[in-house]
Amino acid sequence: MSRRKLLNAGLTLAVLVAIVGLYRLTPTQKDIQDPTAVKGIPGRVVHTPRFDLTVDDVRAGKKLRIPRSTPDRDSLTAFVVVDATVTANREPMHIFDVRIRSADGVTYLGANRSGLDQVDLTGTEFAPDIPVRGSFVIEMPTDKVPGATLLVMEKSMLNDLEPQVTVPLGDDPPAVEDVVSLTAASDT
Amino acid sequence: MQETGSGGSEQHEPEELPEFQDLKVRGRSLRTWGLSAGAVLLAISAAFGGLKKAGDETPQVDAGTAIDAGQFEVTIQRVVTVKDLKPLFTPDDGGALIGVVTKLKVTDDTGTTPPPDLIRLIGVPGVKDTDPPLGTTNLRDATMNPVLTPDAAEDVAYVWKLPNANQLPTEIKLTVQGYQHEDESILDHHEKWLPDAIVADSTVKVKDNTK
Repeated sequence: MSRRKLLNAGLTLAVLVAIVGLYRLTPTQKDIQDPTAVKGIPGRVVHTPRFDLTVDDVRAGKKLRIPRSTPDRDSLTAFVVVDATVTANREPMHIFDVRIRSADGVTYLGANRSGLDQVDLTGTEFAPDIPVRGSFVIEMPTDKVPGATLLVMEKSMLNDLEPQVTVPLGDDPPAVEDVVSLTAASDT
Repeated sequence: MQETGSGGSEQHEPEELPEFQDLKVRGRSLRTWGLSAGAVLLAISAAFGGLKKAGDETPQVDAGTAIDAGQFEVTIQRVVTVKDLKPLFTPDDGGALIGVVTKLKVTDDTGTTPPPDLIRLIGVPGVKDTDPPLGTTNLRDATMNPVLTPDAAEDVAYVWKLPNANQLPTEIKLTVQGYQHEDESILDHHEKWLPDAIVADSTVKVKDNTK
């Protein structure tokens, strides 16, 4: 009889442990909503199912020179220009969600200064298999660049679980020019 | 003899119930019970402010004073009327534009664009109190709906159409919307800022730049 009791107690304990364990293992709401990070490094191609992206260079300037647009734009902080190459893989597409998250957790969104969408990569339609070279522009203090991460997604909304290109920008601050010039995005 | 259809048991009438006023519960009248319950509730409510007027009135804030709107720090700088703001905003024929110039600082840790429901004009002829602005622009380089950098106070104008350029208001009232941070809801886990209460009223003189 006491052996049976012992067995019962053991089984009860096992079931409780299983319940807690399963509960811990089950994905939370957050797990099934956050974007899926696709990690890369500057200078190497990052592959996602819908597009490939390579960060070629990171530059910074107090002012921004947009081709065919005057005057040079000024900023309360600075312009960080990320030169990149993007290739769509399946169908024509745009990239709408660009941001840099600094080491201290502040998120800076891609700039939308007037005239910028005519020349930068967020205003470009990528055709399948045709690499386009251009730039993303983010307004942020340059001292926040060391340790920061570039985050790029196709859409800015309804993007649960979609791939998010994640490229750490390194620990060295970029050289800050007085005026940083953009080159209009173009096929390579 | 009249027939009674209901069985004729009328002879044994039940004991008459007491009048409502005389009804007693545990030896005390209902009135006493009611008053006591009220007094107890009032005593409990003292912990939450009692009979004090619920909710403070929206503070009146003058132009030039920073207002904490949760996600933003808003300073109303000035209100101007102008003929047009080409190429972004053009009024209807015979109309004008009114712009509320704010200093807008994102105090959250994520950049964003100026929310269209931040400012409302109250009692301005030709603009309903609920009308959203035509749009927003920065004063720096006429960028529509500009992306704001956290902690950088940018000059942003909220622009509405006025129907009649000959009848421009000289003073307007406006409200500033506050926002509350929402970590998650029952449905999803997206962090977001949702409109909360109006955080400030402001009465501002209008500068006429149409001439």
